[in-house]
Amino acid sequence: MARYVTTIILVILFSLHGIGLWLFTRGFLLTRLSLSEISGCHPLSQCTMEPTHKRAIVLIIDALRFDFVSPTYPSPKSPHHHGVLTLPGELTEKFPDRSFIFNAYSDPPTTTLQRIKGITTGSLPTFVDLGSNFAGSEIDEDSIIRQLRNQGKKVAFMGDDTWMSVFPTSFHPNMTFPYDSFNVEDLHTVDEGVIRHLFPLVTQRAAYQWDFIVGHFLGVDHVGHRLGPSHEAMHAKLKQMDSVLRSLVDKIDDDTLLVVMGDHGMDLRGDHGGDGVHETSSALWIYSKSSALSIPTLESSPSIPSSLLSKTSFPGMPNPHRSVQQIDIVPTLALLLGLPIPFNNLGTVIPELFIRTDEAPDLLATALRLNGEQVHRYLEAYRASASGAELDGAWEGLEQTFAEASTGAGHALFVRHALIVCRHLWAQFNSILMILGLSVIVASLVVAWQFFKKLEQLQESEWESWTFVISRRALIAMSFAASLGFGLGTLGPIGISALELTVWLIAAAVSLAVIDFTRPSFDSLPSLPLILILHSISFFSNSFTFWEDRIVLYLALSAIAPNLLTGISAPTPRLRYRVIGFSLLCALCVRLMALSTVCREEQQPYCRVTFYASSSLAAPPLLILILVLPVTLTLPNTVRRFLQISKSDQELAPVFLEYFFRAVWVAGSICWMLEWAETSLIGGEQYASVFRQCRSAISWAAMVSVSFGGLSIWWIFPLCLKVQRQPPTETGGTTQVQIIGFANTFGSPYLIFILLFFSLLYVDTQLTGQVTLSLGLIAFLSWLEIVDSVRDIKSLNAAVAKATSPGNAIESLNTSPGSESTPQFSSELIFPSLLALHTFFATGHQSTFPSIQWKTAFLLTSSKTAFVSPILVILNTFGPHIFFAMASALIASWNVVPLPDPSQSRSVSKNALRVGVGVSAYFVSLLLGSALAAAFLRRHLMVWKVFAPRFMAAAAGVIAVDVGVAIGLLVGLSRVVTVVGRVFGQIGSRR
Amino acid sequence: MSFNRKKNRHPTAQKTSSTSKPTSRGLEPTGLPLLQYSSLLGTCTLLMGFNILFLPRTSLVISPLTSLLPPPSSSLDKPQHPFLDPLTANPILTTAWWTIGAVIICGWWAGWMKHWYKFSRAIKDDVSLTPEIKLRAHTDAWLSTIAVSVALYVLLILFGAPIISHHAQTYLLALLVALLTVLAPLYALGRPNFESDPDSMIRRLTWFRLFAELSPRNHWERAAVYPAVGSVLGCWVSAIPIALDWDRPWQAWPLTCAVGAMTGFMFGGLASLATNVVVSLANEEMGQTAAPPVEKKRS
Repeated sequence: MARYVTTIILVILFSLHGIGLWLFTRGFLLTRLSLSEISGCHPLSQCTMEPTHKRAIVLIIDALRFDFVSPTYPSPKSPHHHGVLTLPGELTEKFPDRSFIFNAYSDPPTTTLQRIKGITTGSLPTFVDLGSNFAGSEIDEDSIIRQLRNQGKKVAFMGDDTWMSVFPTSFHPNMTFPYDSFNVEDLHTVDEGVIRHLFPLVTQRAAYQWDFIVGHFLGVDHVGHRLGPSHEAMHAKLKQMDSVLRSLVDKIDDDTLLVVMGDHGMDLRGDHGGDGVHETSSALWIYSKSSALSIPTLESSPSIPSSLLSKTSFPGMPNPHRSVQQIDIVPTLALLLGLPIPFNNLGTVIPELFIRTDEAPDLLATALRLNGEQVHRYLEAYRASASGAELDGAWEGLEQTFAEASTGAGHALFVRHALIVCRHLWAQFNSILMILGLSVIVASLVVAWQFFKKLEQLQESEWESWTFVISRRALIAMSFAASLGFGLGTLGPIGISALELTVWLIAAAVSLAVIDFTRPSFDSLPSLPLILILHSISFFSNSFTFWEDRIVLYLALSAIAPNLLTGISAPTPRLRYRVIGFSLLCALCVRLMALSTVCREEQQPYCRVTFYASSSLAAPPLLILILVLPVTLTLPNTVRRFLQISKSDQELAPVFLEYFFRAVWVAGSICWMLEWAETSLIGGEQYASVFRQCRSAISWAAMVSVSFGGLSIWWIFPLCLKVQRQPPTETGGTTQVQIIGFANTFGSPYLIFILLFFSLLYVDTQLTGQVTLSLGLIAFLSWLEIVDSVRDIKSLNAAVAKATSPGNAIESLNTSPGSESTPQFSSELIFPSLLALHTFFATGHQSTFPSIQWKTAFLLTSSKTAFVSPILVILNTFGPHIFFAMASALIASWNVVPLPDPSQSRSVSKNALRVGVGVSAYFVSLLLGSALAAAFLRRHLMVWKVFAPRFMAAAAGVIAVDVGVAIGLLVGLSRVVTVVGRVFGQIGSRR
Repeated sequence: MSFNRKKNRHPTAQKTSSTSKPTSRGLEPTGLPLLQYSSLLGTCTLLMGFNILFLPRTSLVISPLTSLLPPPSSSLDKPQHPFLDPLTANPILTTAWWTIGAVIICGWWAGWMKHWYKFSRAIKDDVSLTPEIKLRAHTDAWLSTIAVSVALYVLLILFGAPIISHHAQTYLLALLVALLTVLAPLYALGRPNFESDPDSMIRRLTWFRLFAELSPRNHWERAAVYPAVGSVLGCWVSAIPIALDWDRPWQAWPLTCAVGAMTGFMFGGLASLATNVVVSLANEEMGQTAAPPVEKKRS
């Protein structure tokens, strides 16, 4: 019964969360209309230029950062990646008129799919595309590949198979060699495949008749993700790339243009995705074997205005270097090959490649004019399209710049202006949807508060019937709203679709039905959740969002500290020592967890990476390698020690903790130690595959035994009680039955249940994270003891205050069980919520995309699998949220006695539901804060770097917490309550 | 078993409350002399303000210390007011000056607090007190303050102060907060201990009531508790601006927290004055209408 009621309340609440998120996300995440027009040639007007080369080879070395090929290096110079790939520098030194190195700016998000789109179409990516990186999607816009195909040219392709999802039919079937791109563990297969197929094509051109080759190497990127740029493997990889390029430069003929580029850079640890300067600085090298593209004395030549030759400084380099936009390669390549510039292109031709002689500056002017006209055509077409109104504000300025452009420099100015305008515009938001979404999120918070208050006021027997009443009302309101919505939806367009309107009306009606029924009561306002408010509004500042990991520590300590004062004034020494002792233990664990961090880029230079051995080496620190096994081995003893306080360390608990959990946790540690041994090549290359197979086998064994074996044993015998019968004594009396562990009947089995999930998370967490997870578990168990003792103190004080004499006080205490106290939001639930976030940060995460630990996708298998890998990454990232959301139900069930039978069970179910509602409300209000911040600051410079990722993390966090609460209450706790009811119902009736 | 202490608690609680009763009638001789209190509190507040703004500038005068100050950084794109330069130049030195200032101000204030405590309890200055006993009261208070500062130091680190660096800054802040919060009560009330004689028990329960339950019951207690609470809250709140990316020199640890603690101390004092005045006025009003008090003997 209680289970259905819990389900109804959770469904109402969680669907409000879902609807709010869905509406807001639809309004917030960017959209850009992609036009399907193709650039063509009219007989009357010039559409392209005389080609300089008949063929081109474009080699993309994934994540080739600018400083990997640049002739000068940033200081300090790394022996692993600086001065290794030296060929471009050497050739540029020797032939400044034929070889060019640029620092190319890749538009964020710096992920491969988005960059392939940019490199081929010359357009800007939108943020929504980021999510489709795993799925890929076909390009329906004009692109350089499309133009080649239109001219009947043959395009060959080899390497990263992301290209196949973007251009499924464009490559010549006999010359297409895709390789799986997401197997990060594999550093060589893709590269060797590219090399194997590239050279035959180059040397036997007559046989293949290709015109254009795309080769995409992945090794550098994989080394970066897996080992970081400061690892010998990076040196070896770049050396290999260098030798490939050397022999390629040898073998190509004079009519072939060579372009080598990185699709994006990599940050100091080797990851990418964001818009850090290391991630956006990619290398671009253009080399023409015979014909000069430029003049040697370019710098002093009067034919290029210096405004066209912009320069930027790479971090740490002494001098600025010539820089371009990465999409500039699109018009440049098109004109050099004699193709029309793709229709959607927003790049500018690279000027120095169009100065052939000092006497003919017209060439550059023509190229820039063609470029300017193409961009103007594109903008006009966009303005005429359905989304054309987006351009209204900027249109006059654009037209004016274009009209004034008479020289080459003028056209270049226009194209750059257009790029800036478009970058601004395609942060296009739908404010109506955002407001609707925010209103539903606010409503869900109010509803949660109503549930929280109402469940406190209602008696155990009343709340079930009350839930049925509100669910009936909600259903009626919902059906009215749905019919109203579809009715209105047919009336005509009002900026949002009929579906969106209907869904919003349903959410509004359901919230009104609940809110109206229970009537807002403001009597709880004095206990203002200050920490929650501070935390939620902190997202309006980018600084506070950067430093959220430290702020969470500070707030968590602020949540613990008041207990110290309560503890000092405790009426009995036992309670005093318990509260103070556990508060200190809890605070110590929390503080130690905070020592582990992967720093955000913005936290530099005030942050040192401690989760990994260093900021550029993705291996665990030495101290952790030493500590992790002792910590893992003793964690079961620590948990048992906590259970022994209530003597509930009986039956199932010792078996599970001593053998099962200990074995699984140790297996988890060993898996990651093997991973470390494998990546740092302990024992040499030949053992790597052995380590790999061992750790796959161990992790499979651990995961399967927990999710099937452990869970089913728990399901059958969840209770940790021991029944002792004492025969009647000689003097008479009946058989005495003593139940050991009685005081914690509900808490101990539920603890075992959440430890099952904890084990899955433990195996899926890297070594440093395993230590911090253990500390988090200890902190949480300490918090349970604190909460329990503080409740004792309060009821003792209340009893004393009520009693007329001390004797009466004891009496009134004995008659009223301690479970009378119900969970309090500010003093009891804020800390577990903060602890969930704190653990998220301490297990090596941040609210940024590069901090996602892709390594964990390969825990069970050596290559990416469609089903298991995403689950592992999600479990690793949001496991702490799910775990502590599940664990929070212990606040309602820890140290609660099961008798009198039905009322105690009901009270546990009810209080656990309140806890679930409260914890989820904490995360929803963080979501509200971050969504409001992202919405208000949507034109802020840092919206895609700070506010939008934090909003996404908050959204995922709410979903994770909801899932955790649902699993905890509907699976774990309901099973415990059922079994306890079965056992103690009998005892009660026998008595 | 464990309720025995509970039983004991009752009489003592009554005792403390009854001793405080006379003092809650503001104008009685056992109360806090509000006029003197308000004038000296004003002086204390002014001195503390002077301490915050001017005392650290002393480094500019003492030549060995000037060498410790780095030259004012003028290359920043957002230059700070030159008035702040000496305060932010060397955070350790600045906090050290504030601590020295706090030693003087709080030491002086503790003397007055003790005087008023005796006054409110109508304890006559005992001529039989030997200099040794008086000295012990002094050393007890100062040593206990240092002990509290060590505890606060641990607490600051738990709250997120750096573990491996900035020890001097963190400890100086802990010492400063300890001086602001506990020095005066330690000197006036005496150090709480865990012995079981009635005197120790009363003292311990008073300490618990004042600084754990935060429930002062008379003028003197408010004068002791409010500044302490103000200092702690001020210190807590002023950690917030440290995280902002304004790159201002005054954001250096622990300047904001130290200033927050001292400002909280000042505002706590003013709040206690305001409350005490309002309470006495209310009592006076009621005293005129209510029956005259009978409980004179006890004091």
